[in-house]
Amino acid sequence: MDAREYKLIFTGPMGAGKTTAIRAVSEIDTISTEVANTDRAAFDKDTTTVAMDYGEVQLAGGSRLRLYGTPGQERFAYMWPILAKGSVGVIVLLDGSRADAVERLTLYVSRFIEVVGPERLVVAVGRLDPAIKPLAEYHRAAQQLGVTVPVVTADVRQREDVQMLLEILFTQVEVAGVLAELGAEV
Amino acid sequence: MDAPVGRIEQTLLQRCLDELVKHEVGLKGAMFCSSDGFELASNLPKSVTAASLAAMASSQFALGDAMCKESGLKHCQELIMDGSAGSVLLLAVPGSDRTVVLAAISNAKNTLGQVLYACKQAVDGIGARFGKAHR
Repeated sequence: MDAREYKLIFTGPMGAGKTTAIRAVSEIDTISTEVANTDRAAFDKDTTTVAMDYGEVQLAGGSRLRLYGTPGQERFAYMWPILAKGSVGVIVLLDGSRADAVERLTLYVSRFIEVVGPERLVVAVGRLDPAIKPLAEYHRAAQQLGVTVPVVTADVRQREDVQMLLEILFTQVEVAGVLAELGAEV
Repeated sequence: MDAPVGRIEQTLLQRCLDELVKHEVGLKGAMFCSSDGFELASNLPKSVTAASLAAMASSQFALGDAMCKESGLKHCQELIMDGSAGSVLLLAVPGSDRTVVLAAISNAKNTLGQVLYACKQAVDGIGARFGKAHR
């Protein structure tokens, strides 16, 4: 098999763990555009990504995975399609401890299905608090958008969890490819 | 929002911009923004949305900073983007830990150097007024 390059996107709101997830699995020193966060009212965090994160993972057979993280805040939404162009899939990260996590799912999934289509997405909820919103609420929100995407819990500080997300996304991408071929044959 | 500068500093920034735009013929408008993309002060044409320009300026400047670091050049201090109808200049305010950025829109063709010089003077002046280190 020829070595290929795949581009994947991590997106989601500020503080969901995009930078952390890429750092957890990248095999190179990640490129970061973090700056001081002056909007503590929105999120109490020292730094925030304003352009992108970048990391790489080597795959079997010499292929390479290029991982891009988007800025989370909507004022940087102009970066989302720029970064997502040419990507094979998107991982949407959400902070389950936030009251607006389900609404955030709707925002990010609806924006990114415009670029990668409805099959090439995975939603990962971190810090899930069922008392705030059970996982079923996230599934329901995705279904209301007309998409059936995997919605899983993950701790993106853990390398294994991020690798699991990548595997799920690649399964999605492969299935989408098979379905597309079947559609072409019918 | 916890602005990286206080109210007095914001007034200084606004005065600085007003003077800059008033005296530089090749300058269509300018703004100061925080490095995380918030407008601090602006004097822009009505056709330009300050909030969008602030977000884009912060992204571009952060990418410039990342490229400089990757290239072993330490920190980005200024960026010039040449469009077909003019240029956008981005300059860090020295001594502000690069938390404040000047974005200037110029339609000057032959006098861009003069505009750049004026912008540098402006950010150096602001850096000095903020009581921080000079470039």
